[in-house]
Amino acid sequence: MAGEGGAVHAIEVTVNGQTHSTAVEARRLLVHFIRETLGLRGTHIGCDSGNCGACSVICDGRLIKSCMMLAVAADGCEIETIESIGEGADGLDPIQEAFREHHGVQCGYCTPGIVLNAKTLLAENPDPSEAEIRRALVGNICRCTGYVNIVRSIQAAAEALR
Amino acid sequence: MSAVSGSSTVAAERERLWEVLSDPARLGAALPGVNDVSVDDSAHFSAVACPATALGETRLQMEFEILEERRGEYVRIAGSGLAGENRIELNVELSLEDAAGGGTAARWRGDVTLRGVLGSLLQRGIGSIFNEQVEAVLAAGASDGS
Amino acid sequence: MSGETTYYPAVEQNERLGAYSGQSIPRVEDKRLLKGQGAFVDDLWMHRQGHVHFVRSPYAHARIVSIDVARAEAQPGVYATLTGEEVGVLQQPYFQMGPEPGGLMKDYCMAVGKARYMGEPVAAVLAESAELARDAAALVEVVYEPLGVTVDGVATIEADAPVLHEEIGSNVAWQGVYDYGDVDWALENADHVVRIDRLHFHRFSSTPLETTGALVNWDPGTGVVEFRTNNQMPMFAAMFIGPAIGIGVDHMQFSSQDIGGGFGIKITSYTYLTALALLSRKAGRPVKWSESRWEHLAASAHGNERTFLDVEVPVMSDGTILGFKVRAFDDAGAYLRYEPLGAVIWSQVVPGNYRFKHVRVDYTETLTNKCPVGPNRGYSRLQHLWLIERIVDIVAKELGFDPVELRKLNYIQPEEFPYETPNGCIYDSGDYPAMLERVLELIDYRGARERQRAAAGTGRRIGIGIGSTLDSGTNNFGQSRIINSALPFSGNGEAAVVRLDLYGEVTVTIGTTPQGQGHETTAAQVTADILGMSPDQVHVVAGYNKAANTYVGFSGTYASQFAVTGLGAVMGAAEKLRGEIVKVGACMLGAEESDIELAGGFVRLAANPEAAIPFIGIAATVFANVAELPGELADSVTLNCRHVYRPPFTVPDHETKRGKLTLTYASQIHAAVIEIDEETGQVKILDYAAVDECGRKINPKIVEGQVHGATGHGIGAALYETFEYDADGQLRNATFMDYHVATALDVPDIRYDDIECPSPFTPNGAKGMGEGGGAPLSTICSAIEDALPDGAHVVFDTHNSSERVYDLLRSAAAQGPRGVEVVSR
Repeated sequence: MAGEGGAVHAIEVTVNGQTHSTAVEARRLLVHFIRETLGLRGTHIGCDSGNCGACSVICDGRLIKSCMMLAVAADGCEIETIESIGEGADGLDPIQEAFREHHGVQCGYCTPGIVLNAKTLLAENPDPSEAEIRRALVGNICRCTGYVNIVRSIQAAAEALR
Repeated sequence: MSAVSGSSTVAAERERLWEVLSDPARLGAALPGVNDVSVDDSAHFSAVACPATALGETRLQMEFEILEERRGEYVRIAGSGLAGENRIELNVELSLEDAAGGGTAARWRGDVTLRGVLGSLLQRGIGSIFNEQVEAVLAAGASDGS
Repeated sequence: MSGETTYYPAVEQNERLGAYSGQSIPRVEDKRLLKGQGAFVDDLWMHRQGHVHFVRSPYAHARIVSIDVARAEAQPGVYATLTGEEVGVLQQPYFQMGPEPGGLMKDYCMAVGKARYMGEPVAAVLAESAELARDAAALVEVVYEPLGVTVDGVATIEADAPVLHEEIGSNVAWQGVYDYGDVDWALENADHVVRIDRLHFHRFSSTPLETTGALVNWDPGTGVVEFRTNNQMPMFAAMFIGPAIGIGVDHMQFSSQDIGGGFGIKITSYTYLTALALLSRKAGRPVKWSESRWEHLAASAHGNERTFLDVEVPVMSDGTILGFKVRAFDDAGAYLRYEPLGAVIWSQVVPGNYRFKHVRVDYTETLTNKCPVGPNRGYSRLQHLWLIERIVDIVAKELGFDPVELRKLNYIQPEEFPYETPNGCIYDSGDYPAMLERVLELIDYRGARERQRAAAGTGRRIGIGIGSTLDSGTNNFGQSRIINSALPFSGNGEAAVVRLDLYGEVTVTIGTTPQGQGHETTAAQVTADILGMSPDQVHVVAGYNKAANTYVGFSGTYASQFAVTGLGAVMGAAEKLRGEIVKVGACMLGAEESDIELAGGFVRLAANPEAAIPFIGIAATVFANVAELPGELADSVTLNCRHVYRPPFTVPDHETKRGKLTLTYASQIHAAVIEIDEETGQVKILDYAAVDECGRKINPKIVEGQVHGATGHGIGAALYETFEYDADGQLRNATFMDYHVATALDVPDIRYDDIECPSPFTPNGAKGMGEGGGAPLSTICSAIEDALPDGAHVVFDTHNSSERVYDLLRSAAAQGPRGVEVVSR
């Protein structure tokens, strides 16, 4: 793709266990690389300003907002997206299962980011209090659930995983 | 509209600082992110700036008019311009006086209006960006002029 | 139906619902959404597609002197541009729903001649990538001549205000007086009259997390325009787009699968769809547009802002409130895109939850240089219901009544249902006193009052608030004739097809556009009950597709009606299919139809379950072995059954403004305990509870989730979310950095309970629900009012930031006007 600012950089990035050696435009955001170049459409875009968390992915074990990171900056990183969670095309992991059981999903647009958020939270803190769950969720906006059933789902997932 | 104001003391002598400030070519070189300054006549100049705003490329095409000038001590400038589909308007006055401990004390105040989405995004932050630009100019002017 | 009065033709309740309907089964949709396998509009892609970027007006009001697209078009990768000037030629102004004067408005998909709000599209660029389109858009040179700006929804009708639409001649879009009972008599004969100067319902949006988007392709070969879009009322959009650009609805195809929230805001995206269609035709390519968040906040649609002036409330000494009169100014923004329907829709709930008999509303819809409004969750009723709850709380405070007892005294009582309102609407069922009791238990009302007393003098003030609300559902579109007698709309409906596929699979298609409400799940539940199988054997096709031939003019997902219209259609279609299956099965088993039952995916003899044919046997015979059937039977079945559910409406009366405007009246009563920091004015919610009543629930867990969501929106709007325009018409907070949507820290845990009062008017006893009626706005205001010191100004705005609460707290000491006065006889 040409145009101003069209300098191209070689990167090597591992996404969901698969390593991609490719060239990206300097200004390409990681979220666009994931969605458009790799075709992984489970990572969503909601605000363009780093507030909503719909584009959350796990980068080297940490939850990040992929609209706030350039693809070139992901050179050498290991990234996990929602597509890596739960086995195969149909399998749900215990966190996803808890969301299904407790109606933690409505429209589903924020859901991938929130599931990844829950995954990183529970990896660090297997027994979070409600207040800790809410604090962890502050960077992920949901417009449908009022967060009530998201909190309950994460509490149930924590119990299931313990 | 955002009101901006600030003050700064720089090491350069007032006359030499003024020389830099009143030379569009040297001014352009001093302004961070300013690509191109051209002088139309003694009261009008234009510039293209791409200040760092963390909002992607924000290219400002600005026209300036010097409304009032007292050599070495005071200038009042009006600017207007385009940033993509947005509009920017500014009025600013800058006064210089000898600082007590040597060097030059500069004070400035004015207002900046952004219209369009840039205003939604940036109106609250434009004051600090503006102040940073002025301070960068003064600092660069001081080092260039001393 | 109870009582002697019959308001609607008798409705037969479907007796087959039960095994699965009413169960909180997990949702069918969730697996794909949890795994990131949903298909949202931005996930779609077409070969040769271009990306669109709109150039938008930085001015709230400006004449467009010229637009030069030459430099943009010269950029590599740019396919085409479109300007307002071209639109003025290519498009006819949209059909206007209002009569004169508002109906004279000429509205196009982009600014033609003049821009009337900041962010209005003035040109569009189509390019190879979104980035190149944006780069090139920055090179479109637009010369504007700024004009005067009007942003106040009331002052905009003054003679000196700049006029937005010259063809209208003023900024009044619609005006009418709704006068029920005899409010003058009531004011003369009441023991007290409470007067409130001004109440203001602020401007906000439920702003779905997925913005608006579309992939549009005008196929030059067939002339068919395909719209893959998250518009939530596609056939309404088709009715606007078709005549505007000269294509028949038969040549328009609409589809969507997953939609990332809508809340009404995605109803009026037809203007963008029009522009995309024109660009696609011009460029000969599919065009894709994904709105950015700031575009969504600045230039999609906002909720209606409404100012109430000169409220007068007649009250008897025992606390009986006779009604009220008010002047209402509804600020529609710059264009009428769903308006002026809001000017009548509020009248679905004229007396709120109360027995008010005398109501006069002098209603004016005005135009300002702000984003056009669209139907936002609770559309037009929540403004009015908030007014009523403010009235009740202010009356209680001013006249010294207990707010709980005053509500109980004035509520419509459970034995009065079905209840006819002063304007002829029929509330189907309910029990508001019982809901109020329950919600007060949930927040430990007595304990909260004790905490309130104990907090005195600590610098923290505790307040307890109540909000009663209605969620009127299943519109009678005939109410549009109250504002414009010439409009050709009435009634309502939805379509569904239930069919057996070739190997006996059960497939359901519906005309709705779900955005998280779980239609695939609840439709499978009712279908399973009717066809005697389990929900996981029913395939409800995800999303909307016009090609499925399952739609009527009202199709879509909006206005709290799916449980009635959508499921009514599915149930009707499933019953038709059942009838055909029974007919074929009876023939094949050599039995009478009355001997047949359906169970476990089999047709069998009730008396001898061994004699059974699986659905595959029925389907295979009809579709592939048809010569074995008697010709008469073969001719009479298709196993492809379409049903349109039609609520039993008649046309309301234009002159008297009376009629049956909605079929069902779900209700919610909320209560909250809040704490205010006297030093900062910050409001903290200590306890929050909601009790819901929506008739018979098909999936209680989905209902509860809808209540949570509506509560979250209301709390967000009450405390955080507000669009701030300056006097120049510049929107100051068009990103999520500044427009603070409620986070997990802002919405507390919600204590929930429900009661069930089945609707006598619907085939499944359900009532539409989901919008919620904005109860948190009333509840939070009520609680703040309760926490304020004596002598403070009344809580006058739906939005109460810390700054506003701080000012209210200090207004007591200032001893200034309080915005209210009482005249007693």
